[in-house]
Amino acid sequence: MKLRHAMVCASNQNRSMEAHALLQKQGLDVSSYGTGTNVKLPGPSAREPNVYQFGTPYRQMLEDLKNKDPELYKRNGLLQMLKRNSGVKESPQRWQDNAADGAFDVVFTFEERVFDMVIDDLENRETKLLKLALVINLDVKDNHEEAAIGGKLALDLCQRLEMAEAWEDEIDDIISRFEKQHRRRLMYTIRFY
Amino acid sequence: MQQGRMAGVRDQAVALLNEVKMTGETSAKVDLLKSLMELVLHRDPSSLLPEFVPYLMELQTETGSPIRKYLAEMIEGIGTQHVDFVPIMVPVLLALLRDSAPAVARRAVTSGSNIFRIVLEQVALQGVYSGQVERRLLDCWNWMTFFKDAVYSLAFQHGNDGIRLLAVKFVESTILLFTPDPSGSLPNQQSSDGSSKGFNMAWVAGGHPVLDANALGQEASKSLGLLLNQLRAPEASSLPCLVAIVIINSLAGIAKRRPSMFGRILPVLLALAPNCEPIQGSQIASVVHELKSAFLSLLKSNQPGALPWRDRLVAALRSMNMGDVADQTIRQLERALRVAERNRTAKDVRVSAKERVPPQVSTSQVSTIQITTSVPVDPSLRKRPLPQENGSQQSTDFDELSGKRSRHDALPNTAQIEATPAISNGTGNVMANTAVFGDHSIAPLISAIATLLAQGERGANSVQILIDTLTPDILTEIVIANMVHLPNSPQFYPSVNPAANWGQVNLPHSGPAEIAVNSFTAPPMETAAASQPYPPPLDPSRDLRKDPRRMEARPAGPSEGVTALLIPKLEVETNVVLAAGLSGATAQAGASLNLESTSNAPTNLRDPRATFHLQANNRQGGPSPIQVKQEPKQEPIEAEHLGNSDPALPLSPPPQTGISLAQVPLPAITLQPLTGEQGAALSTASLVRILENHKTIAAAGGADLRIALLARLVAQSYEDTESLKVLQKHVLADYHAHKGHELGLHVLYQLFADHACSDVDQPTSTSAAYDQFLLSLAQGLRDKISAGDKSLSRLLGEAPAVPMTTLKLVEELCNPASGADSSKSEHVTAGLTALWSLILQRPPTRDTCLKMALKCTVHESDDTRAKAIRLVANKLYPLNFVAQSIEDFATASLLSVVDHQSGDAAERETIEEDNSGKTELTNGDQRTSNGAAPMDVTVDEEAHQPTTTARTSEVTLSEAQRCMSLFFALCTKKHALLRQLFQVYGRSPKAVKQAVHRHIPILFRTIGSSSQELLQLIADPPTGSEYLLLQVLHTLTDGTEPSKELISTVKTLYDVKSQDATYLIPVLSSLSKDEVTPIFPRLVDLSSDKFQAALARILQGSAHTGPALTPAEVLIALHGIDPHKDAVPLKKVMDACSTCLQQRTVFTQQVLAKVLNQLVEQTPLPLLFMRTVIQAVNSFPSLESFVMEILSRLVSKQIWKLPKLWMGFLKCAHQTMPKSFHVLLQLPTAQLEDALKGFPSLKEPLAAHADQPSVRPTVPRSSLVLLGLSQDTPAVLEAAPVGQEPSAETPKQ
Repeated sequence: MKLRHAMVCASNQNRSMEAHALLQKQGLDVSSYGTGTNVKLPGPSAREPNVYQFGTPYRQMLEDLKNKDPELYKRNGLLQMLKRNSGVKESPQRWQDNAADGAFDVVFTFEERVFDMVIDDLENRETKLLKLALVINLDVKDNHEEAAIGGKLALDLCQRLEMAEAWEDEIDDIISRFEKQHRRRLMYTIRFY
Repeated sequence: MQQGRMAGVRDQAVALLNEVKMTGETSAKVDLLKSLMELVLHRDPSSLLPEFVPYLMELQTETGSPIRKYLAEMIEGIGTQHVDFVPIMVPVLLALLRDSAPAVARRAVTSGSNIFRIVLEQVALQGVYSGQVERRLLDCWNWMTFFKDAVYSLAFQHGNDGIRLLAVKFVESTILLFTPDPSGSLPNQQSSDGSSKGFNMAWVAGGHPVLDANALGQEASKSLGLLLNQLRAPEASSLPCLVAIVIINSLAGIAKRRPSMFGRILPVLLALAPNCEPIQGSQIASVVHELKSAFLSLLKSNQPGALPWRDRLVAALRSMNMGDVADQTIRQLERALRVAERNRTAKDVRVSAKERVPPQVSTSQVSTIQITTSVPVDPSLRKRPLPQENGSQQSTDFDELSGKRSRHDALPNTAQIEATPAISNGTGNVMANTAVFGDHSIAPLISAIATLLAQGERGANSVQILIDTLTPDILTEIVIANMVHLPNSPQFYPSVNPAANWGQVNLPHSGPAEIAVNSFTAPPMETAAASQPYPPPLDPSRDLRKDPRRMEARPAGPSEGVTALLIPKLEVETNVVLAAGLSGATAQAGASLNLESTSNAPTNLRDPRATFHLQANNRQGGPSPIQVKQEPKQEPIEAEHLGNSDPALPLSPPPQTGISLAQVPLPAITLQPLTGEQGAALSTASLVRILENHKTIAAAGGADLRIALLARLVAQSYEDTESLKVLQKHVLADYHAHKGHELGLHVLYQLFADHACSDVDQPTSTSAAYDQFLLSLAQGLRDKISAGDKSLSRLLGEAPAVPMTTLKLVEELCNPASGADSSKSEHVTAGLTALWSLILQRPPTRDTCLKMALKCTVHESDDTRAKAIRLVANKLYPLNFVAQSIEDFATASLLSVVDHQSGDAAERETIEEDNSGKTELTNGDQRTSNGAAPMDVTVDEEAHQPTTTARTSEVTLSEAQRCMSLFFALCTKKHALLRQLFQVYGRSPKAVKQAVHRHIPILFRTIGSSSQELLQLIADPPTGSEYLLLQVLHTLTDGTEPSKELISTVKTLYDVKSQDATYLIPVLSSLSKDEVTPIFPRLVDLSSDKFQAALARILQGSAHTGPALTPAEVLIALHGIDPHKDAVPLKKVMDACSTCLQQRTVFTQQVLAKVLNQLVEQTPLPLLFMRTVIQAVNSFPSLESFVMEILSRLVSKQIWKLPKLWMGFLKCAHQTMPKSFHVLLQLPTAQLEDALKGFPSLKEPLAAHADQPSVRPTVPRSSLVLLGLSQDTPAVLEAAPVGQEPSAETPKQ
């Protein structure tokens, strides 16, 4: 069964994009979003992040950071990440504004806070289609290494869901098996589009 | 054409359906079904659905589950758009619910849920608006109840989890649907509450023929109990986590949207905290999380019902290690509350500043008001820096709403009264004002409330108590009375309205007004908080204390509102009167639906439950826009009256109402009488608004009534041509979607009825309006006409009368100006279709229309003519009552060209004939229309005028075709007419004959060779038609096998009548050898070209029997002709032979050899035998040796005894020398001598030949002597005494 997946993190840069890139490579139907108000990228110090609007092209951010401090951003991996991202899609998208993108079957979040925001947002939308949406959270730290692992885990789980005859009937099993195998805790809930 | 296209769609659909049945592959089937759905549901649902739905339902037996799943999807698609099919489809849906494949069952639940909601909504709306529910809809509803019960059973039993999820969701949505939504959305309003999608059980709370709000509420309550039970032990222990999550989520959603259920739901949820112990499952963490977010969202939701639970919610969250989040939420809530408080105070201060507007300002000083207000001179304003006016103020206030709301909830105060949706409109309803103030009974109450309010917070509580004791009716009146204080300018609203209510302000409540009134205890809308005439409880400014009177007055007329009101003046008046007159209940019921209040009123009359609504309407405004113009006149009286009553009020701070009237120059504004133009503009504008609202009405099921009322409304104001124009524009804008046909007809009937009832003496203005409306409607339709559009015909067919002007239009349609582009051809089609339906449906106009149609059949344009002829011949001619006229016309037009007349003369003739009969009809028509002037003008004056086209004396070919086409077309329908054609053919001019010849192939192939009339005609053709007959015979036999009847008829013709074999030629190929042989001499007797044609047919033969005669047989038959006996000149036979032999490919040398072989055996030899031999040897020199053989056989047959042949023999021998020498030498000496005598030149070579050593011995001696090769033979002399002389003459060698 072909499911529509959405990968969601805060800024739609690292974790969600890592998973997006991976799932896309595997031929899954995937989109990605951030739930933050703005897109934030680490800056020279914790107090000076680089802030962009959602919708700003990754390429533009890349140019911007290159101009600011190519050494720093190369070292912390931002440039590579942005380059990867720009190859996946044009610009970061905000979850709360994605109503036009249609209903997703699986929404994968990488942080409980994001999970809650997604749930909250879905709660506030109109239920029209009576279409089930599985919202899953897997906590992943927001760094490149963890994101890479998180992406693989997301892919694994999404593939399991995809393979299931009907995930609705076996979701508890799927998640339990996943948890046992990867020794990671998941959280999930159901919402309706 | 449209029909054709639709038929095409149907064919396509049928093809797809068949393909679906034939295809084995599941996915392919689904794809095909998708295409099928596209056609059936979107291209032509009205005609295809009834046919296809049953077939589609058969798919439930398909083995592939994706197909059944898609079936469920299709059911949803069809059911949500076409409720009529629900009863057919739901049984299938019920079966799908129990499907073995979970995916199918899931889809079935989803589909059914959506249909359920739609059906419920329609049932509710129809009941509310029309007081009854149609049977079919009731049927649907019953089926959906079955469905509901089936899904409920799925929700509460253990089975497939995925299905259960959806079933639980369905239970949730039904609970929400079956209970009134306190946030109070009304019909037409799309509420933000997703699951109920705008439907609110509150609509039917007042009573409904089918839906019993109480029973449904009880059912909802019971379902809720079942849901709750799921979460209690022991049920919960076996609950899968997945289902638990959904149930918790659903319950939280219900609690949030239905505060009344809060108390039932929360205890159960709270009992689950902190660890959801009763529920067991691997994913318990997720369940716990769900519970947490449910608690949080309930905490945030800030429902009034939630307040008592707040502490317990926080405690529960703490126990779940969410204490900090809970505290944070609480803090946020409190902060918001404080902000709201502060803002409110600020606003009050600002208000106090504003009330510095000089109270004595009146209409004449409007400009002063502006100046005063726009220059804030008040010191208090400067003291307290406030956010800027309006614009930025707006944003600030959005932020404060949550806080403000909570405060009101906690301390319900008077704001609630004032904030009932009823007042929130702000159109400054003057009419409401006057109406209410005409009613003295409430004046004391109002003043009492005002007094209480003036006391601030303390008084507010008393007001609350007072209000609780009031009946809804009186309360409503108080509210209405206060509406005058609402600002007129909507832009004022954002500054005082919570954002959450913004939508409701723009689209305020409509429909049953009791909701608004009865439910004011429900969460209020702080609509006009700022304009409340009570002093702010906190931090009142110094000014306020100083002059509370002014303070109160101020909010009644916010200066922004006034400003907007007065500029520009005319616009304001428009606003006011529009609001007052048109939408009497606008303030109460809002712009969107209330525009229909005029049309709703009569409905409500029939509906006792709506009395209140109606009352509101009547009280507030004129029910019809027509009355608008009169309203202003009443104003002064009312205003005066008000002024008088004011002093009578008890001693107290002057009641807000009085002050507001004194200060805000509203009544003065409305005193301006409207000019006629303004009045007209207003009523037009109002009509436009009514018209634009058609969709909502249609959705509510009241479309029919609306149309009837609209028509009456418009028709009554027919003098105002503008309104007719407006309606017409609306109708034509989207003829089908706007039910243009129905609406137009209603108006027409109305006008017609008015006209029929009107006095005969009066100027026939209704009649003129009728004519004009119909004509312009028809014109509009004409301009929009698309291929196959039947709208025009329908309109004309069903209109009460069709005046001549409209018929003229149709005529123009049918006769596009020459040189018009091809797009006009659609007009022609439409025009002709209209004529057709007029002829069928309107006997009085029948003759006129028929005449028009007939005129088109001789139209110059080929296209028009072809179309008209198709119509006349195929559709009209079969009708008994017009057949004769058509025939007469066609005949006349045929004769006109035949007899060199001008075509129009004939037309004129028939027209005049028609008219005599028609005048009588007209009279009859007049009588039926009650003595009024006839609207159906049936006499076409212009038709009398002969068209003055210059005619050449000669009829041209195209002219002939133009006038004859119809006749030909009729001939195909009525074969008997052919005789006429045959009769006139003989005397026709050349062009006409040509035209006939051109038509013959098509005409007669259509008629066929088995038509009895045609056969009779052939058997007995009129004189002069011979050539035509031949042509016909050729056509009939060309390429096809002529029928037996035809052959026998032709033979009869030949035998009995004409003896002219020419007629036989066409059928020759079908004749057998025995039949051909006797007539063969006759064929030979024909002219050469005819014989050739006959020959070809004979040789060609028919496909079945082969050629009648083989080439050899033909030649033998030719030779068998006896010129005397058969009466054929020998010359003809010879020519015939030559003709044959010229066809070397047919009459080959083999054929010739065979023929000669046979002929030579005949006794006596055929006369032309030798001639043929010579010709044969000429044609084929290679036959020479064969011919020599023939010659020697002739010698043995003593050919010399037949003198004619003998000559031929010698000639042949001469031609074929030297080969013929040995034959010659076989001749007896006497004959040889004869031969040499005839052809002396033969002698020498012959002698040389005979002298050869090999030959000489075989030659009789006498012959040798004759040739001079031997001299003294007496035998020679004896034998050929005559031969001596020549031999003597022959020089010896």
